[in-house]
Amino acid sequence: MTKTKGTLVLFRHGQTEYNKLHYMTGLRDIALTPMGEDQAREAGSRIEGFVFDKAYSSTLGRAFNTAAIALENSGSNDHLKNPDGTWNIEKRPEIVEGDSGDFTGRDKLTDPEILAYPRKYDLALPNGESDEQMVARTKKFYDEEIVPRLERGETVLVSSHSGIMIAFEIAIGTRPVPETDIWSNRQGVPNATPVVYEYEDGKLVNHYQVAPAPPKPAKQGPKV
Amino acid sequence: MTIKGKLVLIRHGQTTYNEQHLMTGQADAPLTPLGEEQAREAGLCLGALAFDKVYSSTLSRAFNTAVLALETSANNAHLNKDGVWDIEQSPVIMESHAGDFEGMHMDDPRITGYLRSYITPLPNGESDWQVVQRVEKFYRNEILPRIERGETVMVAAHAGIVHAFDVVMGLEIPDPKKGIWGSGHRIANATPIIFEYENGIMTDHHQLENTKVPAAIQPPKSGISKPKP
Repeated sequence: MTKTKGTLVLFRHGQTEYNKLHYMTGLRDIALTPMGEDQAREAGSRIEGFVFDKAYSSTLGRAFNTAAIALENSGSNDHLKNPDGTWNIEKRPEIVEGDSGDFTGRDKLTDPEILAYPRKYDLALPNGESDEQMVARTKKFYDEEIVPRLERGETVLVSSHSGIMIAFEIAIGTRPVPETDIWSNRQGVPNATPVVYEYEDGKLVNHYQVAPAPPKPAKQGPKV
Repeated sequence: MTIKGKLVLIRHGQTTYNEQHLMTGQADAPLTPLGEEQAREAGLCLGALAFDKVYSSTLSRAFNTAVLALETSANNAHLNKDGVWDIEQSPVIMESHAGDFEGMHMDDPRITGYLRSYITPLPNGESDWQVVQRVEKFYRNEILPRIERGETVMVAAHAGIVHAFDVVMGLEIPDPKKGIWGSGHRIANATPIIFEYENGIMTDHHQLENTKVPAAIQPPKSGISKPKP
């Protein structure tokens, strides 16, 4: 019997002004920079050929717009367009970035209060969320919303945030639950870089980051 | 389907303290006759806009600006019940607390010499950061759910609160050293700023022109989300 193949594609939003300044963003709805929009277009060309049955994004504009730009540029997903030209991307509050509470809008590399704050997996940021809470809501979304689709053989896109990308890895099982916090001993999640998870009969069989598309051959100029 | 929402922010008209260049904070300085005129003119600027909900701060200059603007606006009679305007007053959007500087002249060396930062409060007052935190809560709990339902909402408040909204909406980036007042961007009296949303995501914003206000200043153009592709 043939196996049912499901595909999950995840990416983080493109660059925002806060990313540039290494400010904590959390739930603040900070827009993409022009470079962030370029990154989203690039993400689109990297997923050229993927035909999504369903697209999700967080409720935040940077994630939604990254998904919309990427789908537009993928060239293979116009079936997800609404009659009014907008994109049929389901916005979900479960996959918004971790709430950085009182630290929102402050420089995570220099702010003395942020630097002094102890980081633990289950310790919430002041008036914000813990990694544990963020992973729990992402896992619930993954288990209830994504896994059944993958088991049915669907191809699903989720556009979210760096914290949620890591939370997905923990939910999927490709990353252990960390001892300190999810940000320790690791490099940041790159903006707008698709990661593909392939499933057979609901089981993860392969996962990889999508490399940039090879440069298109230069167009020949008009003959004079 | 696209749900379109609108937020209109307006700072109060000129007050007695504004006229004398005094730091106001949460002191309840009244509108001057010019300030009242600016508020009425702001109502005319609103054109056909009809509000589903209007908020003001609990300070009289903001509430009265909202009242005068609604009175001259064309399409808001539905908010007037037996001569009383239905405006929800909220202390969360009061001006930032100026502490010991309240009532001092803006050029007072104690003010100009004070080493500000985004997270340093004024002496016995508030920090820019604290104001942004409370405005963010208000924005998320009161404003965004309405915008997501497609409502048109007006908020009448203060310069510090409009700055804080700009930070919360990503239009103004707080400088850790200068804070939000150090941005050099002035918020004009009684000049409505319109923010357009599609499905809860801001797509555009622009400031109207109030002829009774000298040199209305446009909000910064950086960081604006563009209409969806």
